[in-house]
Amino acid sequence: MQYRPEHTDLIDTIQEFLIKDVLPFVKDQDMLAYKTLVSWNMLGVVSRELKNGRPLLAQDTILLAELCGEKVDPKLLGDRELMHRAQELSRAAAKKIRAQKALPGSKEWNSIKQVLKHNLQISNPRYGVE
Amino acid sequence: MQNLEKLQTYFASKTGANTEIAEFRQLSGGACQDNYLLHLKAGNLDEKLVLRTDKGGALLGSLSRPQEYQVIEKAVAAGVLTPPVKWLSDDTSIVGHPFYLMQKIEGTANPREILKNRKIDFKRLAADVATNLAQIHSIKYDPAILPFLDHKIKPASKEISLSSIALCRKLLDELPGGYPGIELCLNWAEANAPVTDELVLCHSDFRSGNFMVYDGVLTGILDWEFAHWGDRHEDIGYLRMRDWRFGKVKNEIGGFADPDDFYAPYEKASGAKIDREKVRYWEVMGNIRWAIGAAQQGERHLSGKDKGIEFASIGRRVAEMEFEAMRLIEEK
Repeated sequence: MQYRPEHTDLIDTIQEFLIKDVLPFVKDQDMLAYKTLVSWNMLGVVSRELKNGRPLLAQDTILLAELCGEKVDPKLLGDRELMHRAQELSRAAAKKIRAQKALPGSKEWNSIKQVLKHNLQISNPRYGVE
Repeated sequence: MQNLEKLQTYFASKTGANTEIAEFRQLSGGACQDNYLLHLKAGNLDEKLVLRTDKGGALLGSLSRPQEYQVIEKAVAAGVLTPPVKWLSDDTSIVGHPFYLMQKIEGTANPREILKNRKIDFKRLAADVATNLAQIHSIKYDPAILPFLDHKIKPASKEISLSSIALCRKLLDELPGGYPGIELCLNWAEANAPVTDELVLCHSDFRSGNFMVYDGVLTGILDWEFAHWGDRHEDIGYLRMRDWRFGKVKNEIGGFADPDDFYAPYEKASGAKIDREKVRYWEVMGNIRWAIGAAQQGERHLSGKDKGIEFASIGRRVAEMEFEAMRLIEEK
């Protein structure tokens, strides 16, 4: 067990440091300012994944398994195992979709859209609300 | 780049005079290329140039520097506003890869800087960009010119769209991950492949970020590494892509203009009528292509070949383009 602050608190603190202390110093250097902002953004991705990644990944794994005609119980899998299983199923679903020529409106289309919505909740929650 | 002495010797051979490299610094480059600003003094010559060379990777069949050089020569001859090329060298002992020199033009291509500049007349910029695209597309397919671009595509056929789909699938097969959303979009693209009426030279990376602007005016179109014979609607669809609007999503043309501000001057300059349905098709394909490019860049980071914050973060952005392509398909 680790003591407080938790990992997401540490990440939030680093994000704040980048924006408040680092960015003002590098704002006139295009590349450094850009990389600072990208770093800040990536830390946000990591923080959201730590907070909400597991339940979304569990749902995605079930959706992908259904598309592949398989069953999976995410509760029986550790975090790394679940990630690897989801990646494996994503590859299998991609192959099947190409072979079966699945089109818009199909079950595959709707399930994959759901998986992508989950992805965006972590990778870019502002997507579609600008 | 370490060896300026060899470069100096190269310039001496080109100018026939002793040369001084008064300034040398790296500029922001593309995913596969490095660009360097170079202030050259030799005899009566006192000129700022840009040296462009390979970074050591290639994305989605990008051109070699000698090929890119020839494409730019053709574009300049067709009246396209782009920095003219000056010298080409395929001697890899000088800077490690083939390279060419081109004129340095004034301005910025930084899209965020351009889009927030309230002094710019964006209608005029849209018209200038449209006219230049029409000039690029005025270079019609001819197997005798730019022969390295010739893939024996049959005009007035679906071959352009179908071969783009085949290339995307090949590139997907080279990636370790599975991308079911891209696969679904490619199935749609295959079922709806349009006929290309006329083969023209496509820039193929025609977007905000590759438009140099100085004092509110377009000064040049940059980055020709993906040029090929294709469908004119490919470039127009690509320019519309959500990701190239840099947050100004309501301005469908590059984040700075409405479609009508672009379409009318393009049609006037080219004499060709824009087919909106084909534009949508190629906007979908542009998103797919960029989704695959983003996945490739993420893999380049993981392979250790090109480690860096930008490559790593781009790998996590694939879903944006995947989702956007699906949204566009559903839009009808």
